[in-house]
Amino acid sequence: MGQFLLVKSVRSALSLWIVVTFVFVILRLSGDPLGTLLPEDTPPDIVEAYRVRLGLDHSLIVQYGRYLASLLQGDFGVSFFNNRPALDLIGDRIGNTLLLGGTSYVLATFLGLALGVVAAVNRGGPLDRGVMVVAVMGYSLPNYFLALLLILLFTMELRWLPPSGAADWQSLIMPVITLSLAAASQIARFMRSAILEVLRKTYMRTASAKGVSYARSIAWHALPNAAIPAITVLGFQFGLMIGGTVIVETVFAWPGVGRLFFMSVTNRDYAVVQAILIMVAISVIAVNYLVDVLYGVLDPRIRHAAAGSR
Amino acid sequence: MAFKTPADQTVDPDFKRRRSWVARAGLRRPWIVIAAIGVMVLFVLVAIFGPLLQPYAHTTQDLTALFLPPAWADGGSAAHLLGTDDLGRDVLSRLIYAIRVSGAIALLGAGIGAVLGSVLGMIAAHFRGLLDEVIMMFVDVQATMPFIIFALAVLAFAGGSFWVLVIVVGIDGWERYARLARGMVLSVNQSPFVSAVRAAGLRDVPIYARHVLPNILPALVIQFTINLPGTILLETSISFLGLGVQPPMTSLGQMLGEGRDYLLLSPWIALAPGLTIFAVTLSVSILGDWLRDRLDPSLK
Repeated sequence: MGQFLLVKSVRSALSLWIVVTFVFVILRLSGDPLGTLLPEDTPPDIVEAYRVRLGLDHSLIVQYGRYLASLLQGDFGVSFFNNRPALDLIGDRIGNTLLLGGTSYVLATFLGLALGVVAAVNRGGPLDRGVMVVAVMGYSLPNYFLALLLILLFTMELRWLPPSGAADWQSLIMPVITLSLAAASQIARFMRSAILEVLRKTYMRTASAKGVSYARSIAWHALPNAAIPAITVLGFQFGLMIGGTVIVETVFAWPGVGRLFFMSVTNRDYAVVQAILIMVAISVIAVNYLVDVLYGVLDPRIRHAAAGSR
Repeated sequence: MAFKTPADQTVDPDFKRRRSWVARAGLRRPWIVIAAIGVMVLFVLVAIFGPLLQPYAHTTQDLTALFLPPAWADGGSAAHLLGTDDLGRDVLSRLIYAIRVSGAIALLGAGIGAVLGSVLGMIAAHFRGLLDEVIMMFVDVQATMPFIIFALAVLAFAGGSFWVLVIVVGIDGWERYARLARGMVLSVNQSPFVSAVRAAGLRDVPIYARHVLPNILPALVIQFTINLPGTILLETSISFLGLGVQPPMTSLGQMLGEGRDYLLLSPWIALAPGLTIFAVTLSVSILGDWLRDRLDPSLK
């Protein structure tokens, strides 16, 4: 297990380094930050003074070294727009994003697992078909369009829910539906085939031959054996959901990190964009590390194979 | 992880003809496939003959006819079948134009991703060793990161022009082709006919072009149809947020984003592009699945 963890840790660290470098490349090479920071008619000597102050007068290698050094010290820079540390801006909003994302993630997980199991157990029947129709629709319906349809229905026609903001629990309903539907439908599809795969195993036949009831054999034999694919899809959905929060928070004016990211991107607020990208990278890599470790815990074959070769 | 024994296969009589999830949903009955083909043919025709079909230019403003509802609604006019927007521009004309732009970006982008990923996958499989490790490392990183937020950052700082957008959506999804191409090249390279042509003295490049590529192409085409809806959704999401192509050019996502502001009183401005995106992604998914069955002998 120790070697397995070491291999996974090194890979995670390398992944983070690749992303951090990529962030540097896209932010430094896609235009002069001073051009967006300063008004167009700024005198050249002031532009130069800013260039020196922000360290942009050095070569890219030196800038890259300083960038890595400051990240390692936890210094993510200061927002151009309100002069506050980028991390503070994220800290103010992360709670709202965790509330929205966490609720959606839990809902999508339960809904997806339940629907997937129901579809698999009723294979070929009307319930299976119904679940899969919803799953196909859920995948093809873009979240931004679903958001607008929900606003049309619940805010404009029925006048039940507020269209935006985070005033009370009712504001949470539409963003959560929007964010969780696509995830739930993908989890359902994935779980369905995972359970069907397990149902084919000979040990399931043995269980039924021993006289284990169908419900018990599903709960005690099929579900634990579908844990690996379940963890795979749940880990994968984590990253997708982060991408989804940017759109959902923007459409519903939810005061979270996703909306902060969108506003910082449109304002070209360098430090904040950089900080959020790196925070996202860290959390996604951490979740993937966790998924890998869970694989190893659940299945010794994976543990030994990974420690052996790559 | 699945260790299949012969006994496993006898448990389920239709093990060999596992059907895909689209088939499960009953979405592959003939009429649905025909409807999906119909939708796609319609969109392809619209994309090709767009300029001839557009009643107006997509930028033509008619300030005497702002927020005109569709022709079938009260107050609609036959001059503007799908109504007009906040600047009195004809929604149908803009929709036709947007279908061409979004279609071009999605196809070009998906093509870039397919070529880039397949080539890198073949390189990884051919050279193995450290190069393989490095390429697969990038594949893993690309697969785990929520690409849209990196795409938004690139577009914000580099500016959302048509070609930048094509390249950005093209980068999304390359890793799946790389993984697929690498795996298949590794197995094809083991097969006797490749050993035979290699023994006959053929060089690497002709071997790959003439013998390996034709063998892995069907699977790459299938992957293309799986990726295409995702590419369309990525482009429309970016454009919806206003970071895609910039006015006066427009795309489906951008139209939807603009229509969002008038949802209360003039929902048709947003519904026209929204329903179009939905119809296209659904049809591509259904057709891709159908095509997958035809091209992939292992599913038969």
